Amino acid sequence: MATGSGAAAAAADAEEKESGSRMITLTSNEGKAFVVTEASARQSATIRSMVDDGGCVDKGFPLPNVDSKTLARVIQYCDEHGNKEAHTVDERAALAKFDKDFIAELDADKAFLYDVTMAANYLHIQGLFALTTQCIADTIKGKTPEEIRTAFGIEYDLTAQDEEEIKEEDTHA
Amino acid sequence: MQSNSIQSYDQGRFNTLPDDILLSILERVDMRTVLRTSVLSTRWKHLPLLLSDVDLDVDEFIHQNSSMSAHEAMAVLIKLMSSLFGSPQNESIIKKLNLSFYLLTDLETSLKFLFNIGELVCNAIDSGKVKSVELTITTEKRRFKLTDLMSGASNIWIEYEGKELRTALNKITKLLLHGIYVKFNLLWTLVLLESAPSVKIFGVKVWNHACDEGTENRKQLSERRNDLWDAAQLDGSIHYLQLERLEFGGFNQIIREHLDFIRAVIERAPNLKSVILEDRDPCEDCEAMDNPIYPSISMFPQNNDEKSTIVKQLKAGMNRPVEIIFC
Repeated sequence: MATGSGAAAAAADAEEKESGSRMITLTSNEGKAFVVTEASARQSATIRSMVDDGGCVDKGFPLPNVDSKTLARVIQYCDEHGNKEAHTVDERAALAKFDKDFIAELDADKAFLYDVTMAANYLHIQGLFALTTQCIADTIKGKTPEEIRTAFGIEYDLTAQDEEEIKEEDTHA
Repeated sequence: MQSNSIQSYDQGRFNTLPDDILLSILERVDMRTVLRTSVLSTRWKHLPLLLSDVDLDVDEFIHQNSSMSAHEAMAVLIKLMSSLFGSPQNESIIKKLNLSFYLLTDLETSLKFLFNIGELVCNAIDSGKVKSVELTITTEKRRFKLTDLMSGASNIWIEYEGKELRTALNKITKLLLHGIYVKFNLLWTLVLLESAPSVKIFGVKVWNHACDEGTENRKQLSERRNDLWDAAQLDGSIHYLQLERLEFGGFNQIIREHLDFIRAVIERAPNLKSVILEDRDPCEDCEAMDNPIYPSISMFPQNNDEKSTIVKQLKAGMNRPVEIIFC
């Protein structure tokens, strides 16, 4: 824990303890400010290390790689995981239910799912990144290459030589 | 029309994900799926070669394609390994390679596979392509086969193949042998350990099911013995210098040979730190039978008295601080 360097800092520290947690401002690339609890912001390893390094908590954190829509959704996840307890079986079940609904909604809007995945990666939110990458992985599992290409709009651009190699692999695998 | 273009725009975004995210996704699917993605497009073709954590399990191939024989699965595994390690333009590094495969009844083929695998792994480690290897030789599904192989051909293994075997196993750091039939002498596993001088973690798991009594497998098993082995036959000059941890699954305190085996390892492993003893895996069918091979009561040390007796027996006459852990 960083210790305050003056009376004002000490007072601020005391105030934080009183209110339970300080508030942190995150700003999207469109300049929109989101105020979140520190517990919520600490879900992001990127922000956590900046806060712990005594960084610019007061000025807030600009996030030039994340748009407002994505940030709002990411914060929804962080609030749930950062602000709520997960000690009892019921609490953990509630959190698991939240995750399930959260990812089901994202899965229905693939482009948004990719945005959230990118943001989770950039902000190092481990739980959210695991959730979204697992969701994409589940989409790939058990599909033929052609089905995967259709599902993700991948253009087939392999050369004739590549195709020969693949044919050879296919006879073995 | 409009919705179509939005759709393809949305889908196309998938391709804008950076490699490291796509690799995180690939690390969450099995190797067969990974291979399927490698034929998607030029970009995807090279992604499997960039994986840093590779898990190759023969069981998985068979599980997904039940018509595949163990022999075919082994051939696929080897082909996969050579394409993963062999690509000259690819400079990525595999930090962790998990390799799990069978030994087959057909001795000649099995040795051929083992040497192929050993050679591929050695070359990959020598070239810096692979940093760490975990090896599991499993006989769980066809559980009598490893002992089959060993009891039928102990001489071949030692006299003719010893040197080659050593090359094959040279760089292995973790060696697990699971599914060893309880009535077989365990000392032969030490021949494998002798041939694998880099092993830090060595594990054996003894199989003692009684629920298939009277079946064809069991008949074949009881006809085979491997009495050829005793501790005196082992090369006394060989020491397992790297060995730090011995894991013994299916430990039975009334089987003298289990104690002898563990002692033999402790004596030859001057840097051994811990011995982990585990009870057998529970099996309801066996428990219902109350057979001497699988008595309904576990023969694993239960109380502190029994445990300290075992510890004393294992460490008698030894002054090295080896920790004996009961799980």
